[in-house]
This record gives sequence, structure tokens and C-alpha cells, in this order.
Amino acid sequence: MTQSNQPMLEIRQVSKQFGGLNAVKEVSLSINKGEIFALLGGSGCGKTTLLRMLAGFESPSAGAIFIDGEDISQIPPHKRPVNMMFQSYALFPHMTVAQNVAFGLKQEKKNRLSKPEIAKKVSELLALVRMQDFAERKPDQLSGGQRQRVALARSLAKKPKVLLLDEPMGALDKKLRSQMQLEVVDIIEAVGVTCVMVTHDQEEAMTMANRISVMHEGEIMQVGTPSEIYEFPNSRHTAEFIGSVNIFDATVTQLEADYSRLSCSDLTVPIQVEAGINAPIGASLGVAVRPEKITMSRQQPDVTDNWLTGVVEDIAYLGGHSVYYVKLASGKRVMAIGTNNDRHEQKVTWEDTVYLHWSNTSAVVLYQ
Amino acid sequence: MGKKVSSLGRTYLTLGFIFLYLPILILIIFSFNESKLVTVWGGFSTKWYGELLHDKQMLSAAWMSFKIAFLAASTAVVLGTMASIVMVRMGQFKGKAAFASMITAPLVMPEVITGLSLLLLFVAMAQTLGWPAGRGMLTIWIAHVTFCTAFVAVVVSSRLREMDASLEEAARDLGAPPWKVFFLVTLPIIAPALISGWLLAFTLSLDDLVIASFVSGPGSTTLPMVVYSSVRLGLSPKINALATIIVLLATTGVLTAWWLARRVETQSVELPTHHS
Amino acid sequence: MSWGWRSVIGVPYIWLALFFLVPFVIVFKISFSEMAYAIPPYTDLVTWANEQFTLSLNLGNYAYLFTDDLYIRAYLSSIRIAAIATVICLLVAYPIAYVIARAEPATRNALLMLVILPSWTSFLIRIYAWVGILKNNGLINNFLMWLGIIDQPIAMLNTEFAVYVGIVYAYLPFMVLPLYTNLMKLDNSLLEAASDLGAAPWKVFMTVTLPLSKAGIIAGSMLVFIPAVGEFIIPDMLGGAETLMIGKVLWQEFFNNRDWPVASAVAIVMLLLLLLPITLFHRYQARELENEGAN
Repeated sequence: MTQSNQPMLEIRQVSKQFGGLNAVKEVSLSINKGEIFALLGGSGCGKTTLLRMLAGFESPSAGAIFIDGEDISQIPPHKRPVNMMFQSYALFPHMTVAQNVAFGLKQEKKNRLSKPEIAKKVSELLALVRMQDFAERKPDQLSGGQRQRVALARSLAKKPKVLLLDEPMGALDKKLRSQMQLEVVDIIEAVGVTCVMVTHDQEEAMTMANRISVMHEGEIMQVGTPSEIYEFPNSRHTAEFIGSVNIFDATVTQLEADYSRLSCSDLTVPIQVEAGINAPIGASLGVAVRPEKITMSRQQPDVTDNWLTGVVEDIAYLGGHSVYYVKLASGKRVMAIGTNNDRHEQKVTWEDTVYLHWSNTSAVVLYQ
Repeated sequence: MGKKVSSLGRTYLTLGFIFLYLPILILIIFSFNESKLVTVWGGFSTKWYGELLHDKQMLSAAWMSFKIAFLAASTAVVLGTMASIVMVRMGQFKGKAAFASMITAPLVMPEVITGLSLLLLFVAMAQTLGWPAGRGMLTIWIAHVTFCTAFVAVVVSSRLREMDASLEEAARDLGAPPWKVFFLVTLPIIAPALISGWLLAFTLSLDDLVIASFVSGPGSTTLPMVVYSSVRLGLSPKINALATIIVLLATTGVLTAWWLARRVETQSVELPTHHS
Repeated sequence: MSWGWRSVIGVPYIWLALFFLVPFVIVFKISFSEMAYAIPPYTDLVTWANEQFTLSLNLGNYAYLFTDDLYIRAYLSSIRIAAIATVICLLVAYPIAYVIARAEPATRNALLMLVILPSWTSFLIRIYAWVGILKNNGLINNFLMWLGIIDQPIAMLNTEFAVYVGIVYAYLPFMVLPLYTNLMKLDNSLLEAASDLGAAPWKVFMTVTLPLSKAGIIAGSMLVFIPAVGEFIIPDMLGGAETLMIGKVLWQEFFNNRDWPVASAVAIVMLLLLLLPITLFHRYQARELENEGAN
């Protein structure tokens, strides 16, 4: 993964209103050259609107967009150094694969390429996406995965400064998705293009992107690498959006230099966090603990903090691992994960009383 | 779908088709009638076709109608496509509702009103501007374009709406300016609708009696006008012969267009479904 | 907005404004003038004499329309005939559209084409065909007399009955198409759900299919009713002297009496009468556009 440190794409305080609706609210982002950056969020969060503003199909109500130092906010889409791979692929049905890929190259005004040069570039691109043998086919003769590869080749043909992907895996079935996620990333990294992708699928964002921006209701909630976002969410929304999480409502009880304690009505013992907290004693905060950080046992663990006990209410058997839903005395349900790595191990089952505990480095305090 | 076409339904459908086609069939049969009567069979003969082909008045009227229909259909396709693009691809602008009503109103407007109003316009224009100096092929052409545009607009709009708009966005994204997008991407894809729109406009123009009667002038008699005045004098197998030729041409045209359309559709792209 | 877009909007807009809207204004103007033996055969509204502009609005034409009961009767009978014909057309067309919509996809297109095909042949000629069928020594009468069922011809031509037949026959495809389009969009699973919940086929039709095809019914009805009110060819060729329809009256006023102003007044009143159905039709068109957009 080679990245340099100059921002290739700068989004400065961009907003977009449709009538009375604020689709995008003062978003600022800085994306580096060669990065794969994901805009992640549910429907209506503004990510697609933002992407379309980068492509030029919408113009910002306020703010500016800079690519490689140049303000492109007012430049129409056909003149921008940006290319997009559409969710529906948008392959021209009346043209062959080769003609589709060549389309952008034929529109070049300044550095007109000759026919042989275009043909050469087209076959190079098709080789890159492993579609050389399909050059003369029409889109309706291709499978979904094949169409995606052609669409990718077409959007890379003009060597754009920024490549945009709109829900790149949205049209593929699950099996193909996992495979193509890695393949597409390989191709993009081989070319070295800066890439912004939009998705609602957190797994996709985590797998493909170098950095993710979680969006909600037109605003950016958090920007970071996949592990930063997963391990250190900055808000309840982000914590709940990515993966599964247990959130405890707690009150700060003790503040020390290198640890703090909070009390929670769901636990009989305090929660200990190995860090300082930026809040006074008595403040109400959320504490997030990911299910895979929780250890489950039949005996009470030998620790003073960070444990609780309850009854197994539901088990979701997922083959490789099982998710256990444990009901506490307070009525709250806590999720824990156990891998099924031993066939003969005596498994925890419904109605069992279990103890759950986690280390003091596992929890994250949520201020929002 | 497809499971419940009951025998009652099929019977009804058959009766319906008999109702639709019997009059036409009768016309065709009696065009070969030896006797002059259109309702009593006197033997087989093709003499009426011969008479038809020698009727100079009819032939020149047919040629006039054909010329006008060709020009009117071609112009209507251009205007109708422009109107469709405005209606389907453009966002809201001031006066769009007015534009929309102007486009769809001719679809239902009674012909006597359109005919009268256009004639009065031409007369007023001749008075004040000196143009059009007289009424004839030009005025009929203008009148036909005006009402045919509405029909073309409906046909083309429907196809334009079905088309995946992201194809046009993709073309823009790849560097084509808007006019190039239209000619390289949009036009090839909506071409079938343009063709059926042209055929529809051609037929409507060829068949028009009322409007042409109002706005025509000396020397610009159209075929329907000749047929109408001939029919007022009485029924004649010559008209049946003409009717048969028209039916034959129309059927060939429609079947060809339909067959072509089916060929295009079986090759059309099925875009993958996607979450939104 | 770029100049490119402006011309794409502008060209059809100007054409239609000039050749569709302006004519109505002129018709309105001339409805206020008087018939004259001149070219053109009507008087000027504005005259300039002795340094005076005189605007003369002749309301006589409109007064004439309302006092001579020929016109009132013609308007009323046109609306009556068009309305009845529309209803008959709907009753005939609905089952056809329904059966085609429920047929196999392959046959569906063929059947639809068969319904539309007749309307691609000449309207005038198809009405002409009915003259030969309906007249006193026409095909039906000859056939019935040959069968011995009747010994005197039944008067069918030159009656209102013939006009109904003509309108239903000529406009059938215009009623079938919108109904079909609407029924096609009907989600089959709705009907299956109703059936699953215990409704008998007839009930399913009345409570699910029929209400959901309302839009198609309205569209088709307007596509038939509005032009039928102003029809000329059908009442002229099939209706005879007895059938009073306003389109024929306008034609005669214009061509036979050469009274352009009265013809104009007739047209304006016809337009006003049709304003409500036209608005209804336009509202339906606009809603169709929105629904397509939402999909």
C-alpha cells in the first residue's frame, strides 16, 4: 500500500440542500493520493449525494472541492479528471466491451489518440481486469461479475486523478462479493489511483478501504482506519453501526491517572477502563464492549471489576462461531461470542448460568 | 400471470377480434366484387383496382398525402423528441407545467377545433404578415406537425423513461459533452421509439380528413378529402380497392415494425438489480 | 441554463405556442366579430376612423348560440352520446384488456398488436365500412332477411345507434391500451393474497383489481370521451340528419353557412365544456409521470 502525503482530494465545508432538505451538512475531508477511502452509512446519510458532487452531477450549495490543488466545484462532469463506476455499471448496451472501454479515450480532445493507440490501451485495460477474451461481446452477454470488471476497466481508461465507486458490490451475490472485493482492491492498487467509494455495507468498507468515514444524516461521525473505527468508535451511532456491540449506560465514579471506574446498574461490580476519562465524576456515559472481547465461563472469574452473570437466553449457531445472548438480572441482554473450535467440548446451552468478563483494555468510553 | 385465461375469456377475446376485423375483411372481399354494389356479391373481378390506378385525381391526391405525411412525420419526430427530453430529463423550470399541457392537449382535442383554429391563424397571419400567402401543402404540413408532435412525444417519453438514466451520466463522466451524449448514447437506445413515433405520425397525417379540410387550399387536395367527397356521392368498390391497398400497406408496416422491435428486445440488456 | 438546453426547450415551445395556443386566442377574438362578405369573411374588431379607435365586440354570436335551441340541443346531445358511447366502449374494452393482461407474455404482445393493428388503417375507411354493413340493403339487413328472421330492413344507418357503433369501433384501441398498461402493472401477488385470505374470484376482482385500475379507466375514458364530443366523421357518415352533434354543427356552420364568427363561438363554448375533462386527463398524465419517476 503506497500512499504519499499530499492530499489529492480536498472537500472543504461542502453542503447540499434539496429544497428544504439538508442532504449534506458542511462536510470536510482530506483524501491522500493512492488512498482507498470509503464513505459508509445507511440510506439517506448523504454519502451518495456527496459522491455525485465529486463526479459533478450535483453542485454543492456551499463549499468547494479541490482535486490536486485545483478547484473543480464548477467544472461540468465531462471535463473533470474524475471517473465513476456506477452501481448499475451503466455499460452501453449497443456497444461491445471494447467499444465501451474505448469510449472515454475517444472523447479526449487535447491529446487525441490514434486508432491503434486506443486499441492498444483497450487491450491493456482488458488484460488488467482479465476480460481480454470478451472484447467483442455485448454487455447483455456477460454475467454480473464480468460486467463489473468491464465497468472498472472503462472507468480507469482515462487515468483519472480520482476514481469513484458507487456501491461497487451492490449488484453481486454474496459469494462473488467477497472474492471481488479483494480483486478490485488489487486492481486499484496496481494502478495506484486515488479512490473514493460509497457503500452501506460495513464489511465491504472494512475489507476494501484504507480509511473510512462514517456518515449519518448528512454529517461525518468519524474518520479513521477500519481498526480505529472498530476499536475506538467515538459515538454510540458509530459503535452500533459497525459490527455488534454491547453498550452499558454508566456513571463515572472514580478518576485516576491511568485508570477510571464507572458504575452501571446492570453490573454488581464496577467497570474499569485502563485510561483517563474526559468527564467529571457523576457524568453519564456509554461504555462499549465488543462481543469478541468478552470471555464466557461457568465459574465466577477471579477479578474485582468488569464481570457479570446471567442466563443464556438465545444462541445463534453460525457454524464457525456462535453468538450467545445472555440475559442479566436487570433484564439487559449482553452478546458474547464463542468459537466452536472443539467438537467435543461441552458446550454452554440454553438456560445455563454463565459468567462474562473482559479486560480493562477492552471497553471504550463513548462521550456521544 | 398466464394461468387464468378462462374459456370465457378466450371466447370473449375472439368475439372482440371478430368485431374489430370483420368490417375490414368485408371491405377487402367486396373490393373484388364484379358488380358495382358494395353489398351484393356479383362475381370475382379485379377491375376496380385497375380503375383506381387510372384515377388521376386519386393518384395525385395520394401522392400529395404521402408527401405531406412524410414531411410531417419527420418534423414531428424531431419536435416530439425534443419535447420528450425536456419533459423526462430536465428538472423543474418555470413554465414546465404549461409546457406539459401544451404537449399533451393535442392528444384529445377534437379535430374540428384544431382545424378551425389553425385556419383562422393562417388567415390572420396572411392578413398581417403576408405569410402564408395562400393555403396549401405548407399549411397542411404545419397543422399535421402540430398535432402529431404530441403523439410522438408520448411514445418517445415512455421509452426515455424506461431507459437507465445512468447510461447518460456514464457518458458524461467519461468526457462526452451533453450533445454528444445524446447522439452517441441516448439516440441509439431510444431509436425504436423514434421509429414507431414516426410511423404513428405518418399514419395520423395520411389519414387526416377534418384538419386538412380546414387548412388546405386549391391544388392541395389530400387523399382523405377525395375519398370523403367520393363517398358522399355513394359507395363504390373503387373505394374498397383503395381501402384494401391501405390495409395491406399498414399491416405490412406494423408487422415489420413489430418484428423488428421484438428482435431488438430479445437482444436488450437486462441490468442487474441493485439495492438503493 | 446553457443555450443548448434553451433551444431544446425553445423550439417545441415556440412551435406549439404559435400553432396551438395562439390559434385559440384568434378563435376567441373572431367569435366576437360579425360575418361579412369579404375576405376574410368577418368584420374587424378594431376600427380606426376619425381619429377614433372603436372596439366592437359582437356578443350576438354567443346570444345566438343560446337562443337558437339547435346549439343547446347539439351540445347536450353531443355530451350525452359521447358519454354513453364511452361507457359502452369501456364495458367492451375492459374484458379485452383484462384477458390480454393475464395472458402469457409471448401471446400478450401478439394480442396487443392485433388490437392496435386496425387503428393503423384509415379511420375514414373503417367508418365507411360500417355504412355498407348497416344500411337498409346493407350486409346485416340482407343477411337477416336471407335467414328469414325479418322481412323488412331494420333502420340502423342514420340513427344514433350507428353513431354508438362507430364511436365504440373506432375508439376501442384507445380504451384498451391505457386499461392494459394499468392492468399490466398490477402486482399479481396482490390478487393471490386476496385469494389466500378467502375472497372468491369475483370478489377479488371487485375489491382489488377494479379499484386499482381506476387510473387506467379514467385515462381511457378521457381519451375516448373528449374527442368523441367533437367528432365529425362518425355523425356525418353514420348519424344522418337526425343525430345532432356539435362537431357536425361546427363544420356546417363553417363550410355550408360560411359563418366563421358563429363557428368560432361554437368552438369556444365546446372548449369550455371540455375544459373539465381535459384538466382531468392532464392531471392523470402528470400523475403517471410522477409515478414513473418514483419507480
